[in-house]
Amino acid sequence: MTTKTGYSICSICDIGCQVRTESEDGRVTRVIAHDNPLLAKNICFKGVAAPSIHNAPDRLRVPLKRVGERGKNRWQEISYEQAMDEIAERLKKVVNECGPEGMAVSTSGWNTQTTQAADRRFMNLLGAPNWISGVSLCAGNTAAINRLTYGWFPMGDFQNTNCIVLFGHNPKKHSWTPIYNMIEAARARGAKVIVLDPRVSEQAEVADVHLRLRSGTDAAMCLGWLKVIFDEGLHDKKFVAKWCTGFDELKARVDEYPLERVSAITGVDQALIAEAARLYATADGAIIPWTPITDMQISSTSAIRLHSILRAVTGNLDVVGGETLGGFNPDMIPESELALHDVLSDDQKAKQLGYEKHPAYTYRVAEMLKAPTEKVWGYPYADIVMGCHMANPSEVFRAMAYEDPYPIKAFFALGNNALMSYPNQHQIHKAMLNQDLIVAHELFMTPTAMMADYVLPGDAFSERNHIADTWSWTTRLGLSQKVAEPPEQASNSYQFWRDLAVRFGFEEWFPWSTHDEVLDYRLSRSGRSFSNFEAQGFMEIPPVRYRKYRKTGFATPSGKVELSSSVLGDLGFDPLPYFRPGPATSEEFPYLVFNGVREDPFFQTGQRNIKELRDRCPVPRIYMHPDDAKREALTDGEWIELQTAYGAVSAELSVQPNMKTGHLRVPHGWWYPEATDTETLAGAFLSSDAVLCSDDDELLDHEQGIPHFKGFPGRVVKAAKPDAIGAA
Amino acid sequence: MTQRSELKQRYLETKAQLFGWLASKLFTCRETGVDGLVKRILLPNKRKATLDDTSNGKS
Repeated sequence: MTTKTGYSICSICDIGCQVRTESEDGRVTRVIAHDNPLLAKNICFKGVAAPSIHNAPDRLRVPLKRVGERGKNRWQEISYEQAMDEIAERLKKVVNECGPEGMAVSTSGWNTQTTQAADRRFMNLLGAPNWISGVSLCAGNTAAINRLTYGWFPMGDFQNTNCIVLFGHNPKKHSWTPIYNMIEAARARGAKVIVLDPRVSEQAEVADVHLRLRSGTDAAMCLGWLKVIFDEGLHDKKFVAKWCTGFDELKARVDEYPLERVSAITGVDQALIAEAARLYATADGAIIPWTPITDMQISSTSAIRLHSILRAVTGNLDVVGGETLGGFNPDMIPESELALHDVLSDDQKAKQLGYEKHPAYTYRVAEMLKAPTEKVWGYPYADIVMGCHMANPSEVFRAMAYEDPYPIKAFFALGNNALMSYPNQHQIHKAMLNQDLIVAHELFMTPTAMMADYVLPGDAFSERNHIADTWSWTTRLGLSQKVAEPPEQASNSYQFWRDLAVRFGFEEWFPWSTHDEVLDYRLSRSGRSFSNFEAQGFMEIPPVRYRKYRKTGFATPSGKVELSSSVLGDLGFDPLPYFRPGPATSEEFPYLVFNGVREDPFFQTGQRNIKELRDRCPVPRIYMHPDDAKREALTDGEWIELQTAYGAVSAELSVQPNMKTGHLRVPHGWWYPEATDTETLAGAFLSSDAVLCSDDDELLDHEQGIPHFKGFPGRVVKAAKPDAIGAA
Repeated sequence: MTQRSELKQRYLETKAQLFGWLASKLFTCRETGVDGLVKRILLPNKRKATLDDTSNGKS
């Protein structure tokens, strides 16, 4: 028997915990805690379940070609080579008929870990600008919007901070585990924690200050904080005077939000707003870590910018205990360089969907920030958390469905259950039905894969080597070693794109024939190979440098922190942050719904087929306050249907005193693998929160074009449990 | 934050950099040398985690 133990970066979710992985005879057997005491707590039950996931009997092992009607889940097994040949031929036909913009790609860096930017490289060589990802409404968009203010996406200095502000974010032992552990450690040191959440979440229960704001009012709350900070002179006047532009304009805007108004919008007492603002502004080092909540609101751009502005005006930017601007790791060629963004012509960049109407994270803004980014960070393009040069997903799906403004007829989904990962699932379904070619690259048969023409099995993190660079969010490099063998016909995502590129005559641009060769190339900047790296250690952290802007300035057009954004102004948007209310409740739809909420055992739409995880959460549960449940004559544990103007989902009611009255909390990404043979697309339309929310233009954030997931109107009614939903 | 003088800022930066450097030297290598020694001291009864260690019941 051959046993192996390796260092791994778990990619069951998006956190990337460093763990140890064991295998026997090429088959992963255990995921265990890291042997480093500083990292040993960073493990959750999803990671521990990785062997069950990687060895699952229903894992895809052979390439499949559709033989029945699209979406009916009828397949013929074919070889990998045949699949790639046919995919290449059919994609060439689409490109000939529609142009390269007729191809769209949706991917997730988490399940498949990374493509080494091979997807963008192939697309840029082809001339295809329409790449999208779930990071468009989760971290990637935050990165892009942060760049508008000071040119990078900072990471909180949890180790040295004295105050942590969680805008709705709720890291727990089994969700965002390392963040949870860092918060716990900071709290043990005496750091204060401020939580802003309508619900009394686990973090709120132990917070020093809890503000139960109304869902979707983050921007108004931040404007209120700034009002207190400016009125009481708590801002860092020297930093603002020397390093910020637009202070007077910002102050005038903030004056439009006196605490009476902010209190009326957010539903939080004025004194509590002021107390929290003072606590944040006067802490000797404070952080507002990234939150998935602010990412998904109708004023998301303003709210994210307001977080950035708060960091800057209180002097917490790039300082000890504040939030540091890392830049690229100098020892590793970044994906920003591998992607060949400069090869894509200006004309094709201008065809990227979203470029005109919602440009904040498209190539349009990337081009505007190119010169300062190169000056400060050394590369013209900074692709942080994959999120800075994307097309707008809603516009992509509209083009796929209605061929407006031009047709998209080929769609690739890699490690991404795209059907259920963006708003307006009905439109996405229509979009997929209108495709000439859909390719899915996955570990399991998902509803999206069921819609495909070809389904290719992917590999898992235990089955490949990797150096994780946190998608340039930090400068840390982490080792992930191959300990198990992938299924014989599986490919990693780099291999997939490389093999497709070769069939398009781009072989010279992909001189690395394997994923391992790309890793060697990426490390060659420091004169090393992957073997050298793994022999030396499991992690590298370059020395932190603080206040780097004193030498280089900030990577913005002005070289300063732009409190009033010149980029947004040049694009015709309001250069100052503002609050815009979401759609109002009514007699017909009296509750505010917030969706997109993850449950601990699952990452996004995944893992419902893994028994040891599904047993922890067998069915979706909608949270409701007891007073609301009483008014609706509903009881805990009964099945309900949540209805909005756009769709409905079935779920079990969970009556929770920790909910804010008038609010409903809906979990994300539910479908039923056990109903694959009985329900259309395995029940993808029964309980998926993606059907609830519109992506009509008037309900999107103006600048990014992302949906309002945090506070839209809905109602609940009693309903029978759908027949298809059985025990896992 | 607004209370920090330049002197304090520099002191904190130097301290954080020193600790960061030390941590990266001591804790980012494999189980050999100083790293291994520190681990053996800090984890005298090193035991590998199991599924039970991470279970906190139904979520």
